[in-house]
Amino acid sequence: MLDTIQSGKAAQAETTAAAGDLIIDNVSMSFQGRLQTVTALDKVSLTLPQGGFGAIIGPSGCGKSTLLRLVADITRPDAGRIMVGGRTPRQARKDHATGFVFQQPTLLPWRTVRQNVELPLAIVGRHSARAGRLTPAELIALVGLTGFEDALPGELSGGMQQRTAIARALVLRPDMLLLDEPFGALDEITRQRMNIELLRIWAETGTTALLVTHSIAEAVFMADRVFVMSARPGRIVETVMVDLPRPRTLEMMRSPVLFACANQVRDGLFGHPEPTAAPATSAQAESW
Amino acid sequence: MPTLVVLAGLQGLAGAGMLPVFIPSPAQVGAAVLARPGQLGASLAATALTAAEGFVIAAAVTFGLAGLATAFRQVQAGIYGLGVVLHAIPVIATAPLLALCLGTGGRMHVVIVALAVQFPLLVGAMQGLAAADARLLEMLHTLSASRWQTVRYVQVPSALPLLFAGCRIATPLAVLGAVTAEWAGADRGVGAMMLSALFAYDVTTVWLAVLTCCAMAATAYGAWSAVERLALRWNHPAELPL
Repeated sequence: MLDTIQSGKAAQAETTAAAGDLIIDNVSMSFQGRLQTVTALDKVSLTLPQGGFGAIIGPSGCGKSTLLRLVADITRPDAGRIMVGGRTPRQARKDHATGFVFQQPTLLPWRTVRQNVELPLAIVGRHSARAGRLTPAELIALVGLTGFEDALPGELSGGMQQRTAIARALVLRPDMLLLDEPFGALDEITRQRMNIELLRIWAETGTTALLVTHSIAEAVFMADRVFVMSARPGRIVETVMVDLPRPRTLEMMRSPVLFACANQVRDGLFGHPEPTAAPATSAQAESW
Repeated sequence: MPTLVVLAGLQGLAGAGMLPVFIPSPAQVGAAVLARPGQLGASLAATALTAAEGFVIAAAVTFGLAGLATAFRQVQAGIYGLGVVLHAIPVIATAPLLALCLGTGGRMHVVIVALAVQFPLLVGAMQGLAAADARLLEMLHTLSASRWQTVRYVQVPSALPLLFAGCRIATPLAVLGAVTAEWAGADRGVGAMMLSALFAYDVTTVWLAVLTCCAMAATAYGAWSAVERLALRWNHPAELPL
């Protein structure tokens, strides 16, 4: 009796785990320009397990931001299917299951740090916000802005503004955190520190994260899976699995595994006449 | 300080008998204030009240219309066009016409002030409501904010700097409109005082009226700037004189 209940529970856990994945299936997207139609995405498919950390890397204009915006339901695909934890992007957005961090902090300049972090709660209504979420004060502490609650965005540095934006994206406890080159505007040193912090926050909140970047080092350091995209029309040319333990530390930056993964990403980006056998496992999405 | 230099210079020239008859010495103007403080106070109050009433009415109407234009794109051009046409008619021409229609009472004065200030208020409100950062609007979309929440949390606060700019431009126009309206017929106010002094060739009182208008407009402008600085602490508006 007990066994059946337990196995039933296990089976259920397995199905919900699969349903919690991010699934992008044969998604195509084109923009109608003034002179011509530009194909931004061409039959892109990828899967990111629930709680995983994915990175999308590719040259400028390859459609990686477009892909992220499709998951966030900012735009709609022409063809294909996207499932965010068993929901369509629209449902996920309506359920506040996705959190988005833009390239710019996009804070409301007339609201303080605390008021900006509280904005999603004001929109949803405090009472209907999901249970088990962190309070704004806890999130402000998590992103290291305690003491700056009453500062206006204009009084903060770029890094602090972006940390406020991350706290805001997490306040509704989203299942899916979408990050569109969040630290692209920051200097290398601040960026490295922010990345370590972001990994810590990701581990503490248990959210699934998808990061768009054009830094190879950043992609392999942060992610479990790196999706390499080609230039227009955007396609996934390679998926690199980064087999390194968590939590990631700065020492791992020098590890041979990371080095091999970075090379594999580089080969995917720039092509390689004879791809060398890498120690990390690789799954090729499309032949090249 | 520069004002003091000018005043001292004028007084010196007057003492030397070098001022033309149509410019009184500052001492004469000062004496005129002291001679009839009650009359000046009453005129000032009447004109200020007319200007304020017209301003408030124009603000209510134009802000309402700007809201309508933002909500319904199809009426945008019509509302803007109406504002332009009304603005193109010189107030000096509408004043006698309106005096014929509405009489020379306070109602006519208020309407003329409202007409004189409507355009900067309308432009400020319409441009302001359209000034919201597209990235902020996109951010609210990802949060599934409603239309009303978008207006409340982004569009109205974004509109404030331009709205305040419109108000700042409109305040001196309100004083100008009130005085012009009083010229078309009034028994009280700074404009009436100026007109009767002109007919009596009372140069000192004419100058007093002009200076009173300047002081009123400058005070109102300064007050708006102060309110703006307090309300838009986040905007760090460029330091404005006054």
